[in-house]
Amino acid sequence: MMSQLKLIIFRDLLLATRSGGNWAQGSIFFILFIMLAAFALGPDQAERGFIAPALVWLAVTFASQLSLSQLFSEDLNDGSLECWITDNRSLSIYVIGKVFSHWISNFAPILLLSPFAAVMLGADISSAPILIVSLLVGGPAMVLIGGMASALTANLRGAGLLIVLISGPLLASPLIFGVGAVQAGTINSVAMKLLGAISLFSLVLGPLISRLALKIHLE
Amino acid sequence: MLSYFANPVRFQALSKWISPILGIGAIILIIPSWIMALFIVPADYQQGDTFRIMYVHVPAVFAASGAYAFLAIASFFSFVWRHPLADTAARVAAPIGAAFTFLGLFTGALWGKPMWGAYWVWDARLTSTLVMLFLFLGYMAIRAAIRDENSSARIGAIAAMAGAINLPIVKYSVEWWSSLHQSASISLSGSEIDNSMSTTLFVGIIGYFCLFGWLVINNMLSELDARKARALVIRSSDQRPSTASKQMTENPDA
Repeated sequence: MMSQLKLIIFRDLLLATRSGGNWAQGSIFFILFIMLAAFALGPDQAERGFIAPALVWLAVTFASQLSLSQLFSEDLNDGSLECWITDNRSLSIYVIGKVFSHWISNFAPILLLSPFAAVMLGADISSAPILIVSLLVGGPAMVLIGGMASALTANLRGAGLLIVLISGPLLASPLIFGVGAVQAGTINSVAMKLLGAISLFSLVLGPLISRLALKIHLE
Repeated sequence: MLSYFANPVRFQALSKWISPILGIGAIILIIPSWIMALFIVPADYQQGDTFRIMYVHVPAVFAASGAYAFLAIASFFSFVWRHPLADTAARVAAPIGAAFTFLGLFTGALWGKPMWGAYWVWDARLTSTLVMLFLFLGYMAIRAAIRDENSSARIGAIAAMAGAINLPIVKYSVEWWSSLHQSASISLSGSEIDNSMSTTLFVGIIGYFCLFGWLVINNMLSELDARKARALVIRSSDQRPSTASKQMTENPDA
């Protein structure tokens, strides 16, 4: 089981390094979003500092979803998913490995950029650790829910917007509690615990639903 | 029992009886509930006459949540037992549920302005209901996007069942979080409001559910007819090459 997980993670990370920088698109979108948000809000630094964590969370949410559109469709179209199945390997492991390697290659760079973005928006540098912790705790929920939407739409061309349409309503709760956790200011706030609960919940449900969806596409 | 009615012919025969009952039920319940709400029920001691919009708002949101529950259950039947009729039920229920949700949100906003001083607040009950509207719309979008009928039904069913997580949040949001939206005044065990008010409300709620059932059944019937019509077109187009060649020989100018 672990060897299968390692196999899929290494394969996907190798593909990411050879993809010509596709993994960076989410990060670039993230920075663009922050920049445009700063322009829209105008030059009042103090006001922006107050809403900076909310904007960063919003940007991370969208960036994580938009980078997910190709997560399963490539493997489905070129037949590697079918090979995986015919080798009698576990589809759940495949989904978890896929989502995890996506988290490393696409989400982690955004995570590293997020404190800089928050400071650029005028947030206090002392809030950076809590922002990173909240994104670490809430990140699994975001990529797992997005992965679920991506699996549901894997056989569609240009499903980017449809993915956001499906995962968007479900992302409301991690977003609410994520911003709440940053604004609470401490690590063990109620919002942070609820955020962790949502991540664990999506860890159970996300791979299950993605697996069902991929099975249907393979029928 | 359900598989007994999963046969389209039996469903059509049964719906000939049920559809008029629900349709007439909707009329004789909803219209009296409006009359009672506007003329008979006394004004609220705090909210005055403004609260009368409750008789549109509460039944609409009840029917909306009921519609989502219906969508999720029908999706479950369609996914597990692959009944095409259950899938048809799910597909036609989504736009109706979305309409009820929108009606509930809109009347709630109109009610919120005089009572809370704002059309909209980002409170747990309102937000989760708005999420429900987007779940309906997302379901409709995914059904429309996937061309293959079988895979559209199965993928849509999964999406609808995943969205059912939101239903308990809608229901219990007013209890879990202290919220601007009031908690339920009526329940099956009793009510906290005046008898004439709760009676009117119950009549309205049952009426809205009848309306929902009537709309679903009739949309399902027209969907079945449309499918039959498509099948006829396909069958006739199978025969077209021979008739076309016949016409060619008979009428070379055309």
